[in-house]
Amino acid sequence: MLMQGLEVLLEQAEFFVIAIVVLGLAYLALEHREITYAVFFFGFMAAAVAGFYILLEAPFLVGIQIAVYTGGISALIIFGVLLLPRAQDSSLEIFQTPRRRRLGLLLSAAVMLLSAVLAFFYPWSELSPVSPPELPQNIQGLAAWLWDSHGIYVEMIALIMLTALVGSVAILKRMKAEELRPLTAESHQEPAGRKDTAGSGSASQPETAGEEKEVGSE
Amino acid sequence: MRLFIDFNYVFVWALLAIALVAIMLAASWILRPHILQNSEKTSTYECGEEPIGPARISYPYSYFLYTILFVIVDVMGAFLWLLSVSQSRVSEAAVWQMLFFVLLITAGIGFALRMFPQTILSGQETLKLYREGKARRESQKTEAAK
Repeated sequence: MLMQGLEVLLEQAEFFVIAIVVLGLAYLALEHREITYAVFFFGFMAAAVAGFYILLEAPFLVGIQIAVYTGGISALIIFGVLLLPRAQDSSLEIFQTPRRRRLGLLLSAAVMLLSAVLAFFYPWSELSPVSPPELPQNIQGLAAWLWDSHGIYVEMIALIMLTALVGSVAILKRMKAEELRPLTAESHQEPAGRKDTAGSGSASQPETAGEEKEVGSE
Repeated sequence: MRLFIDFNYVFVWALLAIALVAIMLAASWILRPHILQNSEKTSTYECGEEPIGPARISYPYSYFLYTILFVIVDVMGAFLWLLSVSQSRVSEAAVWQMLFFVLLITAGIGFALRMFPQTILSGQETLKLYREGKARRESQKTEAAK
């Protein structure tokens, strides 16, 4: 009995420690002047959020959180910083007026207060905790649920990622065509340019022929 | 809760990692000579070359494809990890679904890598287009002269 009470107390202490760490890191990620530092704080914050999932005994979400958010999304933002032209000395946008900043702080405080009040007054005790959830708690049950009986979800995830890849390739090709437009503005030469890169083995020959022609004309 | 106690080793490991970094930083601070900073010391080191311009330049957008690929492999790994840690006997359906999942993503990665050269603005291509345009202009000029 004493052991159980100690465990509950420990759980609450862990929750508060994680909450403080997450809030502090989120504030740093929002407020740091250098965007690269802000990205790193965001990554640490995402890793700390995984602690909540450990407390909720959801190990798969812990893995997803660390792999996708701490690893993937942080890398995505860092790459975005690399690709974007340097603007305003690489700092985040600073609020011009303190009034707007105060308004934002007030708004976020109101949202946090509202959610806290809702969580406080929600009748948690009236919920029936004995009924087992639909998703099996342990990771093996989850694997069986997801891969055996509901595999369509996984295939849908694969299709969504396929769509993202094809879309990114399409966007990059369009951007390249836009960059080449000043050169091809006089006539439609785009198919010739495409053909050049499609076959790398055969493309070298006409190019050298063209260079020879150029030399000959000069 | 139970899980948190199981993660004790991770916390011990994390504490050791933090202590290692702190000790290394402190040792280097103690050992290094404390001299004043000057422009020579604070400038970007580029293998002995004189740095020209700022170190931060914007890279070509084509490299964003690599990040997308990384995130996709990341998500695929997370879902395959779920399958790999389950010790229960997997059914035949799960194996086929896993194969189809991997095939879909591998096909996407293969497509992206195949199309990647077409998304890069290569200098040779630009030069070819420029020369073609130049030749066209010159031929038009000669025609106009005739």
